[in-house]
Amino acid sequence: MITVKNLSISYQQNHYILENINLNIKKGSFNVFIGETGIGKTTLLKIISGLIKPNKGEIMIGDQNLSKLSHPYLSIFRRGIGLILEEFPLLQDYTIYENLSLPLKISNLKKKNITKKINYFLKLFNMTSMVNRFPKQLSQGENQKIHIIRAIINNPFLLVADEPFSNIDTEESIKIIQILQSLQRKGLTLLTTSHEKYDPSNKNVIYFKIFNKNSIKNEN
Amino acid sequence: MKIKVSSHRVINIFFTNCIFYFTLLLISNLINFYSINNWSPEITIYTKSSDEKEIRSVIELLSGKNFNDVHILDKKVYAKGFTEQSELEIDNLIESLPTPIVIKNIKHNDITVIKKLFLGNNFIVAIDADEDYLKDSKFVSLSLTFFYYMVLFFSFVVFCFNSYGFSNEIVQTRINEIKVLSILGATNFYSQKFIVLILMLELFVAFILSITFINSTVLILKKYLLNRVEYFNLFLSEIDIFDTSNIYFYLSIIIFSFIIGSTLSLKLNKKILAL
Repeated sequence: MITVKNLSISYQQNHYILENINLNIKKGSFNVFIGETGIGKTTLLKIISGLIKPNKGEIMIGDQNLSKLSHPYLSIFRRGIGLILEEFPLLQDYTIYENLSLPLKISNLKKKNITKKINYFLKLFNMTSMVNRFPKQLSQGENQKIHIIRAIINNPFLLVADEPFSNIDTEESIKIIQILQSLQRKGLTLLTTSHEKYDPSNKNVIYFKIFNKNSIKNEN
Repeated sequence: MKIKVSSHRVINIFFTNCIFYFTLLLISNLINFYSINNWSPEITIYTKSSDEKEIRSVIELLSGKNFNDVHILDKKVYAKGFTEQSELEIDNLIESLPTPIVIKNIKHNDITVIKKLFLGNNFIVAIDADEDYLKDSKFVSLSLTFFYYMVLFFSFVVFCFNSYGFSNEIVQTRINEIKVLSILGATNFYSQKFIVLILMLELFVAFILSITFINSTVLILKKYLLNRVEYFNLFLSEIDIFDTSNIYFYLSIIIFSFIIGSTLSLKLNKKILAL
């Protein structure tokens, strides 16, 4: 369970991007924040993943109060969160294998298991042939898929993704959503952003619409 | 968490530096080569004297250590090669000189020469000639020499800026690495001192490789392609990496990479702290 209480954030004095936001997110749910550009969707994701500290308010993930965690505990806690953000790019000097191995190395996995996991996920996303390529040799859509793999490869309990399907065509997106939903059934909580609803008929997805800086409503 | 030291970043600096530096070096070489072919040999002694003994004595003197390929054409003595002013041993060959320049040789004898002109690293001695030629050749020689050194200087400036630019790129890559690793949850990094050391090592290796490459390519050119790049040998002897006695070269490279390395490491420190 993720609980956001009275959350406010401003980058300039008295100019709040989000103000007094309250949210409850169930464990193992698929949540999508929708709203106009610049409304604060990405900022909200960054706060929940511990990358930005809010001016006011609390974020509880399970029984951990994120606002009270300091370095290095916050870093260790973040190992359990998969992130897909623009500010969190793939390293251009690292091959796809090396990029994907980073979160696993940080979790002290053995090399044999790292290779096994990478091969499994690349096969799942039909990208086995790209293992030794560099990010700049891939298309935008392929890069985006590698981002998704990097975020889920370490079995996170929470996946935070800012517009994860922006460069991927609809057919591929549906396949990836199916993969993510299979992980969701195993307990993964998903928090993503989008300009519009993925598939309105899919009742497993919870849509939160951000109307303005202090108004978020559950669209379901 | 380990940070990868990738060799292809060093190779990037190395190749780009080599391309920039060598291209400009080649341009300056061509300028000099063109000018020599069109205006004068590397060392030319002009004399009105038809006295064969006199001419032979000049040849004997010039075909010593410092000169090679001396020949006579239309009563003019041509000698190619390079030397320093003090090594020139020319006796008082001409009695009447329009604008005599007195230089001392290694034996401290006075040598009177009508004109001395520099073209690149070439020393042109005109013992006797008509005034018009001297005026023209002096103007052309000096202009080309100026241009030649400007190009050399510019190539070095490009070399430095290019190295700095690439080093900046290395710093940016390092910052991205640290940023990504810290977002992924890494807690222990190599110390910043160690990262700076790696950075400086990368720069140092890249400079050494660049200079070695340039040096060896010019040596090969000298041997097989262009016959007349001896003066580059003079230029390169100042930075000859194979010459172990050239401590100044090593010192300048170390100081250069230290300055760039420490400037960038300060930048790196600031950016890391801002993360």
